[in-house]
Amino acid sequence: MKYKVMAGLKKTSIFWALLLLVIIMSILSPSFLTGRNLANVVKQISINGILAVGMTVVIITGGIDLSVGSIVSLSSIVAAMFAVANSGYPLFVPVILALSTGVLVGLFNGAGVAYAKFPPFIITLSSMTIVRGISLLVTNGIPIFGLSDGLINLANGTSLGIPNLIYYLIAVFAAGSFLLNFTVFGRHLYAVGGNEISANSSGIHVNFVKLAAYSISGFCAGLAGLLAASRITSGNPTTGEGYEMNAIAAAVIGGVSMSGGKGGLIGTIIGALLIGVVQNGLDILGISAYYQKVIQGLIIMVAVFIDIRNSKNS
Amino acid sequence: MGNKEIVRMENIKKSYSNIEVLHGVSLTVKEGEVHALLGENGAGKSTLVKVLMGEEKLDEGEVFWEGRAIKISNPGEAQRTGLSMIHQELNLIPDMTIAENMFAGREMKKGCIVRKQQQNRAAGEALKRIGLELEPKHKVRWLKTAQMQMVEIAKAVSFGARLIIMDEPTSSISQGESEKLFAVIKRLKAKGISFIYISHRLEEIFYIADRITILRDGTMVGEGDTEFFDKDSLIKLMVGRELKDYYPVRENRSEKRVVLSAKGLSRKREFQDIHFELRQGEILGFGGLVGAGRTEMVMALFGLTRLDGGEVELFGNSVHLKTSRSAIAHKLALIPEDRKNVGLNLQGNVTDNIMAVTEKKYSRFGCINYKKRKIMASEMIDKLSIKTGSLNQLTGKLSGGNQQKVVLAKWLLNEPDILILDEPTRGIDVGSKAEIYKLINDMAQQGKSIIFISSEMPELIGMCDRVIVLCEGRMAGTLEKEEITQEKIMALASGTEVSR
Repeated sequence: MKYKVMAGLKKTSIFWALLLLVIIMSILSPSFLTGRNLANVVKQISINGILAVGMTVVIITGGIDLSVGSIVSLSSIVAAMFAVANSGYPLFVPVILALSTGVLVGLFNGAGVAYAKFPPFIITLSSMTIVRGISLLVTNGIPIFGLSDGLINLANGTSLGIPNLIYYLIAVFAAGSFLLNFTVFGRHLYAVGGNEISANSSGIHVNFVKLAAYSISGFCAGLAGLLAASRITSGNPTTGEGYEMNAIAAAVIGGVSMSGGKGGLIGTIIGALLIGVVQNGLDILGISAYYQKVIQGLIIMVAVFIDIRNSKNS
Repeated sequence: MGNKEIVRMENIKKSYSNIEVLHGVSLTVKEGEVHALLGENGAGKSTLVKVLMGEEKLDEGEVFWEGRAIKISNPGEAQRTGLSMIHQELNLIPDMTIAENMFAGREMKKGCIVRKQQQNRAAGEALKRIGLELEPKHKVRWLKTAQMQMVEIAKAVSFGARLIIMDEPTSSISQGESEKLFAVIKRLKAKGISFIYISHRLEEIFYIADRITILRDGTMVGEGDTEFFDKDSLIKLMVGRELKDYYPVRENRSEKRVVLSAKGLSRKREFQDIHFELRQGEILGFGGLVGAGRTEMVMALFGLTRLDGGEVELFGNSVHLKTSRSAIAHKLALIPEDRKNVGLNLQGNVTDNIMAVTEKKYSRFGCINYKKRKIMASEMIDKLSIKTGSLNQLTGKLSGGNQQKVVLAKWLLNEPDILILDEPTRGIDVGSKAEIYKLINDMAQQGKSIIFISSEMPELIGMCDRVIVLCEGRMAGTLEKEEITQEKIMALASGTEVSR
């Protein structure tokens, strides 16, 4: 019994770490544990959280997607181009186009990995640079301002007193969880990541699974780009820089194994929350952003170290 | 040749996860002799030399080097002692030059700068000393297998090796190259260097070996000068164990109906012109040495690789199985040789693995039904008596026998007509083996047809209705039930006899 409790604690250690952090923060600063601030935290992590969901899907197959940050910028620009107040397009046009942009780049990555057999790191590193370049080219490096109220309202509005961004995050998280846990495709994602050769000989369409995984990540990045455009009320070719690293960090802190086949979205979301709480908490305490970076790096190290230790012991 | 012994292993015992694979084996090699180490696959030859090379730790027993007791705990130590092993898979780095390979890890240097010229010269001399004309500046990648072998030998000699272990050196080189290899071996022998020579080819044993040690099931069953043996006595010693009674009896033998017919199956460098018919309810064995092309053949048959030529008919209809998916759709199943890397997802749990083939079948609109999954998985677990903590146990944590049963369960759930079993009992303890034999037998009795690949001859004799023996990718012969004997399989497999 005692052993079981310990095992349970170990499995959910990242959750307890988050809880502990929240408790410490609320003791250190009374303004931390207010509804408003907590909503703020979730709002801050929502874009990273959405990216991290897609990233988790890709990492489960044993891959990685470095291009998501660049996709955010390109799809934010696409959204902005079709949503400037005087363009006259209805709101669904920029929305659909921004999402499609993400899916297209995802398909490109997926095809590169699945059919051209590029190592995921290489192909997504290439598309990260290519897509960033395209963003700069189409805008000539100048942000696009003057978006319609409809688009701006997407991310900045509230419903029932809760920021819209939080709904998007919850929706993506719920859809992703359903996909991973309740569909045949979800099982296939784990099978491919766990052992590609075995998956193939079991009749699983390995290439299709990979293609789909990168497309999903692309879709998430497209959505994140759309929301980013809305949030900063512009399409900006420099937005999203380094976002891929935060998304990877969230997944890794949440126990998703970089070698594939292991992990889930609950861990990833807790990972994203942990990063958010640390950032927010240190902000409240007035600690410099430079320290935040150091601390975030240390958290990744510690989280993965605990993970390695646990899997060795069991 | 003196009579001075160079190495003596005494009473070596070694277990892997509680299964003893060496039961007190002794081996003595004298200075300047070629000592052949013979035995079936799994007899313990490679374990024994691994122990000698310090790649595996011995549980009991002693090793003497020139009469002094020594302990070798890693390959580096073995090398310093004067031991060197040339593996079947050669250990050279393809994109480095011959000289760089020969001096890898002990470069000739001045400060931290490698003295390439000096190194090249030394390498050239070392190669010449064993009678080889190779340019040390050439990259290893462009050498033939036989030449790489020579480079490894030259490397070993230049390291000061006094005992060189060769694991099936002629398995992947031509006749002419083998002769060159023997010439080099004889030359080094004259200089007092000893060899432990592992091979399945009996002719060359008689040609090259001075003395022979024979292992069977982890025990030494014979030792002596080569002249005291002939081919028949060697084969008898290697295989002559009694058939254990754990092979189940099958009542209704196979019917006449041909289920699968293969004609002229070929794949470049793997297997040529294989033809056979598989009947309903039949267990058709495939015998041969490791690397005879059996695994490659069934992989192509199952659509995992492409056939270069040949036709496959299932139930009288010509089919082209280009992917595993089409093979599965035609009700084929392949239980692969490499359980851990091909058969299972070790990171997945028992249920995930059991359901991997049939996930779609038991789903609705792409969504899985957890309740149904649980029922199906527990049903298979009961049926095959898989010992697992829970349905969510990681397969990586199961024992070998239970892992194999999970693979079987996964495929049986798809109700295949034809089961291809590639070494289904490799590395499995005796108890689980018997259970797996019974399962296979039951399936045949139910009218499923089975292709059974095994390198263990008693297994082929005990289980199969017919055995086809492959040798170097070709059919060496077919043995009907009454004529299947270990001696005949061995003779066909080693290419010493071509029947019909």
